[in-house]
Amino acid sequence: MIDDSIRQHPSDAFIEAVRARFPTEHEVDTVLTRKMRRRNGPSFQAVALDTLVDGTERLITNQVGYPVRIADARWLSGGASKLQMLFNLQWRGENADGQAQVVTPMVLRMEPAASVTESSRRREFEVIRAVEGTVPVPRAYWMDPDAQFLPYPAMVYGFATGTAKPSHDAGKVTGLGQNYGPDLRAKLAPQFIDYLARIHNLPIGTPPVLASFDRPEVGSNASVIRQVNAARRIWEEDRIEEEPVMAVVYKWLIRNAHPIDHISIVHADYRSGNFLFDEAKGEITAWLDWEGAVLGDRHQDLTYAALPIFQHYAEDGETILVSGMMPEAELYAAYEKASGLPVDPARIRYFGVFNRYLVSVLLLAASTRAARGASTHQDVLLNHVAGMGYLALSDLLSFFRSATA
Amino acid sequence: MNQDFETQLQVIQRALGEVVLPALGNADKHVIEQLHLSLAAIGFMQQRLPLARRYYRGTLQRYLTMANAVCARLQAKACGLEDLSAKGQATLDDPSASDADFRAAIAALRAMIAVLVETSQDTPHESALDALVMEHCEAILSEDRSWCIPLGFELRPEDLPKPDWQP
Repeated sequence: MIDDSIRQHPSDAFIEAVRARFPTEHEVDTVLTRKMRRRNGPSFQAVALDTLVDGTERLITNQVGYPVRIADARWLSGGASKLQMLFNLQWRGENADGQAQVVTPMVLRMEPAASVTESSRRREFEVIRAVEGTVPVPRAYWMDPDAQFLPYPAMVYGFATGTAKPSHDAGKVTGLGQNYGPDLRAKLAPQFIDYLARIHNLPIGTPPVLASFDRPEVGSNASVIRQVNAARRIWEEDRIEEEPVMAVVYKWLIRNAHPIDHISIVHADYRSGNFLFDEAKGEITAWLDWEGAVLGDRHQDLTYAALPIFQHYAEDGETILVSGMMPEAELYAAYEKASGLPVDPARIRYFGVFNRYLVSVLLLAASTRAARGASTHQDVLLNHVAGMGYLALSDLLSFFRSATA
Repeated sequence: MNQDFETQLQVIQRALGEVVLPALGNADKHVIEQLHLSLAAIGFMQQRLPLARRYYRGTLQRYLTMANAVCARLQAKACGLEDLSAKGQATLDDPSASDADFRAAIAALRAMIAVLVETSQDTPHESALDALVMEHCEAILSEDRSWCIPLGFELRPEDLPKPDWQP
């Protein structure tokens, strides 16, 4: 058994042993290793807005090749993992016209010292560029993946208009159990399905497109096992307490990983609360939070959207709506029709277990550890959502028992 | 002074909720959200602090029950678990044991049981051990979920069985 203090102050030997034991994608390995090395440094210090303005100006100036100015900088709330600053960029615009004076609203998105979802700005940038034009996303402009200009890795987006929460139900934390209401739901649900189908049917291309992603092979389950290992590795690095259930489920996930039958871009956090919409028109204006995206199996997104923590009861008090949209069976049927891709019940069961395992890791390990280590600007929020951990683990246990009966 | 922690937490809640929060007016959304979450954390402590010792003792008792069942199943192969189980029982029986002692005993049992699950892979007793662990964990997690009800994540908290630490 390992003393918990080794996780809060990891030795090089501990870091290397965990890396060797749970091999995963190259970029994921880089990000998780960086997280562990940071843990021996100072806890997160609040960053002044002026510091971000200065770093962002230098980043953009370096990228466009002429001096730019940032005005009207202010904090942007929303989300549980990243620091965000909204600002107006005074520059020459997309076409770099020497005479133009353009003002463009933009968002800086920067990691804190630790996060509920430790992720790569490089991958986030690449995947947004890849899906642009297929689904509505904020324009990805520039990135600082190795924190050359800013205190932590960051990227700059165009500002996307819309709201994440309907005005009648704005109190939910990060959109969990979001209830859009019957009128808005009727307009949003078909778009929710259509955009997922488009993402999954988009060809993944060849590097340099999505260059930071390891390429899965059709007919092989190696990429699925790498993903399971990434979650298991976070459990090993971050957990506060061991949970015997997690040990049982990990063995099953490795043994039962399905070969990939079609390679898709998988958003990996596709759910209510992760898109912006125009409330008056009932139109989705932007899909957000691409940081966990992978190349893999579409069933991962389908079962994630259907997780209980994103469900609520419909107005009849009986019908369960997944991601605030529709009953689970209807979601899968509508997706098959929209995408032309089959929904395989065996893979639905597998990824239903996988996503519940992952959520349990993120709540009971990553969130809890980040809050305990005073590692973020939102420790109180991460500590709060960690309180969902036992609910998530209980759901994992009962789903696992039914899936393996 | 007010010796009970509930009162200490209550005065903080009232000050933050009835004086500070309304005064924030047009503050950034994330500032308001962090204050709401801070109030939720204080509210959780206020409800659970008086019950903490009973909850930890109950959890340790349930892990001891699971550990004894695992030892009975594995017999000589449950290396180390019998000793941990005996130490955990001694902690439970010790009137001077602190909450931290209970939590340390629970953590040790959880970790050892997880190691046994892991090392049982591809052995003849693997599936029986896994099934036994899942069965015992189900009851434990039901109690843990009840513990977290004040945080507001349960869709239907009234459906959970009444925990034995609840008066």
